[in-house]
Amino acid sequence: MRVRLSALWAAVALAAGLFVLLGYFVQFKAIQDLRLTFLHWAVLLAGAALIVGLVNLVSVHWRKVGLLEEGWIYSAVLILALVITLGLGLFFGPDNAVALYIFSNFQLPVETSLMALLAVSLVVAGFRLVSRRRDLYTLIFLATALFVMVGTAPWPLPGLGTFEVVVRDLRAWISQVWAAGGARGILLGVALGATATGLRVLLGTERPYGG
Amino acid sequence: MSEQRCPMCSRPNPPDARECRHCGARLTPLDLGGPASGSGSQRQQTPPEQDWLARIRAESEAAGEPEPESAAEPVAGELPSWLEEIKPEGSPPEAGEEAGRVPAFKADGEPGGTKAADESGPPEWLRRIRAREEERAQDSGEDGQDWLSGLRGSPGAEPELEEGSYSPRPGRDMAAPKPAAPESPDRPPERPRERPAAVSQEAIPSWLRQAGGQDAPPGPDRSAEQLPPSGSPPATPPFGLPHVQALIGEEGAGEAPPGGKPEGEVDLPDWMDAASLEGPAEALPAAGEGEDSRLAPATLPSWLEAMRPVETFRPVVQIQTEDDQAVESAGPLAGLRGVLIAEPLVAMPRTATVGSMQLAVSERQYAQAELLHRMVEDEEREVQASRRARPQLNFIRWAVAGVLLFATALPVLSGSPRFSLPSLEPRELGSLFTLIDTLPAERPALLVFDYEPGYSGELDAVGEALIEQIMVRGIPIATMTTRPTGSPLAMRVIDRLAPLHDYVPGEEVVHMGYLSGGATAVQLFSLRPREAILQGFDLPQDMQEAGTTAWDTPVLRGVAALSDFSLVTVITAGTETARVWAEQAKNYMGQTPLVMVLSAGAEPMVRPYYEAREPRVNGILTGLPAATAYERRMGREGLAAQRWNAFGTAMLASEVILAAGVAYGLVQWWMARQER
Repeated sequence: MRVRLSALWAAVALAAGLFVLLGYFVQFKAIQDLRLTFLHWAVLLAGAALIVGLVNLVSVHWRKVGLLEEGWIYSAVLILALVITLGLGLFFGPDNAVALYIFSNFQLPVETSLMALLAVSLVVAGFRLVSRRRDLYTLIFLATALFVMVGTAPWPLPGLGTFEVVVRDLRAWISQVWAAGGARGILLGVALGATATGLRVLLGTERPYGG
Repeated sequence: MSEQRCPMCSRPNPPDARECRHCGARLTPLDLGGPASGSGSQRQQTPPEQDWLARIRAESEAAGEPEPESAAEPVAGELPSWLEEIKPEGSPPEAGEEAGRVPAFKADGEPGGTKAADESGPPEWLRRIRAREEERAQDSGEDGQDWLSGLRGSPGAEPELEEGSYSPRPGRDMAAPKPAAPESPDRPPERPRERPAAVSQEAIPSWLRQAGGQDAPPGPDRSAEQLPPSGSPPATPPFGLPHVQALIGEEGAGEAPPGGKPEGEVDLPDWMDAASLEGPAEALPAAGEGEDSRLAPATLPSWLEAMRPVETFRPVVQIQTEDDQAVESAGPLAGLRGVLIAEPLVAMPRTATVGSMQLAVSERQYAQAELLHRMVEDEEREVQASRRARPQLNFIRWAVAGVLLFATALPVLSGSPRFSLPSLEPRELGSLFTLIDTLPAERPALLVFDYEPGYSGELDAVGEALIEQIMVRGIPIATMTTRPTGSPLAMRVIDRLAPLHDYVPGEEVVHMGYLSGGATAVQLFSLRPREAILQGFDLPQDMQEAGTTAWDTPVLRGVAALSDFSLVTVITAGTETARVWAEQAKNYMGQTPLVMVLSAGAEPMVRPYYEAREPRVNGILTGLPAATAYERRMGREGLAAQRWNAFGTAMLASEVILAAGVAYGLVQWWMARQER
């Protein structure tokens, strides 16, 4: 019985994948409708997964607060903020003024400040990099970063217009040739990996749903 | 003796059988050589090992061989073979003396030995040797005693020959006969040993006479006690094995007798001399006491005793009698007594010797043992609670943060420094500007705000440049997002630009809100936009009260598919989001162009979609410099231009800090190299 159930799950997954895939190539209305139905189910399942994740988050932090573990105060703040924003969203909608005020005056500054700290940390790391790791690759890395930054930022020496052109072209050459070439390789690898994974799921070799 | 049993198979055999009739094993031991002593009557009393000698003699007589004269029985006064061997070569027998006779002082103690010795002459071979020696002595003119005088002349010989220097040697006392036990009421006194008749001085060799005259103490001749009586067993112990003297305990251990004293001379201890001189046997200590207190049979020297392992030390070696010895039960020696048992020596556990207890440890093993020992000690050691480290200010981090903050705030607060706007613009900027400029104004443009609030500082400015051009063109705008925080961001940007271009919410611009489901939702939205998003975000109050949705607004009223939009613009900082839109949504967009407004870090990953032969992205706007250039192309100064000076100052500060770090590291490396 266990074997039959696993075979059933594999057959369901395989059929769903085949129908969605056929929707790209075949324009039959039945297949398109079936594909659309599957997509709706997937979106609903994604929403349900989000709710499950939310419940799990609340339970974890609720336990920390109940046991007064280290950092329980942060968990309490998280639960309090969750209850407030969730209540505002449920009762007054996501676009009510209070919710937008909270977003604009709490969430946005906090996340922007984190990005600013990231910028500071990167600069500090770049300053210490040669002292900590002194080799050819480090020098190449820092030289590349400096050229790209100089080519991106405003030109501080207005009198050296020719030099500015050389630096801008150098920055464009680095970002559009070397960096884009590497990005294409990454994208090709991602595409091949996605194709292989899709084929394995379609053939039943890989069963992320279990069984 | 009724019957005898075979030592091999233990089966009975006739008493006169020489071989076992069952297994063929020899019933009587095979012995070679050695004179037999005793007559037929004595044969019953003598140990059985002497039977073989009588048997051999009988066989020889039966074969008609002439019996040597000296082979019948030991002749009193005749030198034993061991004494003959130590006699120096070339020492001829003295004239008139009867070679092979025991000296007089020795023969006195032998019962009936001297007379019998006179009657039996030396053997034939000995006579021939002596005759040859006499001829040689006459030829050389010497008296034949030079070898003895030479020995006497040696410095080491004299002290030993002096009687006053004589000291008892306990080890050799083992070879000496036991003194007579004192008389006791329950034990009859032992009969004094019958001393042999005196041997004439002529029967003693000159060298032996001189030695005996000096060594032999007056009174009872103790040398007679060294020689076994004729009726007693020979000096050789049973089984024909030579007698091994026990080791000497303290002094004089292992010393060879000086040349002046023959080997056969056995020194007697003082107590024995005293007993023999003083005469009365009652004054002698008991035999058992004397053995225990004075004699030390088989004792080792003190230095050798100290080297013996304690466990294996046995003060007294007890020799079991033959009846007490175990009978071999297996192997070819089965049935024999007195056999050395191999099993206890091989199979039984023994105490390890001192040498085997010393382990041969290599350096690596020693290091590993030390490491293990250290680990065990660390496990046992109580870990002290570490003190909370006092927070220390990281000077470099704070300095960099301060410099960057100052550089960012300085242009905003003071208005300087001011950087010139970029004179060079990216190649793709012109085509994008043209694309926006040629869009149909009757179809709405879809703006997707797919970035996190942290990127709002960059992407708000970059996106506003493009959105402002769309508003300049009067194209209706619809916004959506696939991120929960995207709708407020879109509302912030639109609310800032809409008043500038008289855009009325719900009529020229509408927010569709959040599309949950990630990439699947994007695909669903591409197929059926109205089924993917059902409501809207921040719709006008009257529309909310009327219960209308975003699709009911004038902006989206004619939109049923993604291709119904005039433009799809994705504002994002993530390459994954851009890839999803380019790969999943582009197939359903038809001729609708897809434009990417990107952060500077996402450009390399999106540019391949833009530069492809069949581009999936029709235009890209990347970073603040491109946005500044776009605004300048539009002839307006937007948010990008306002942030240009602060951006330039912060970037310049970052460049200087990085260059300083590189220089600092290189100086450190150079100084370290100079120190080396």
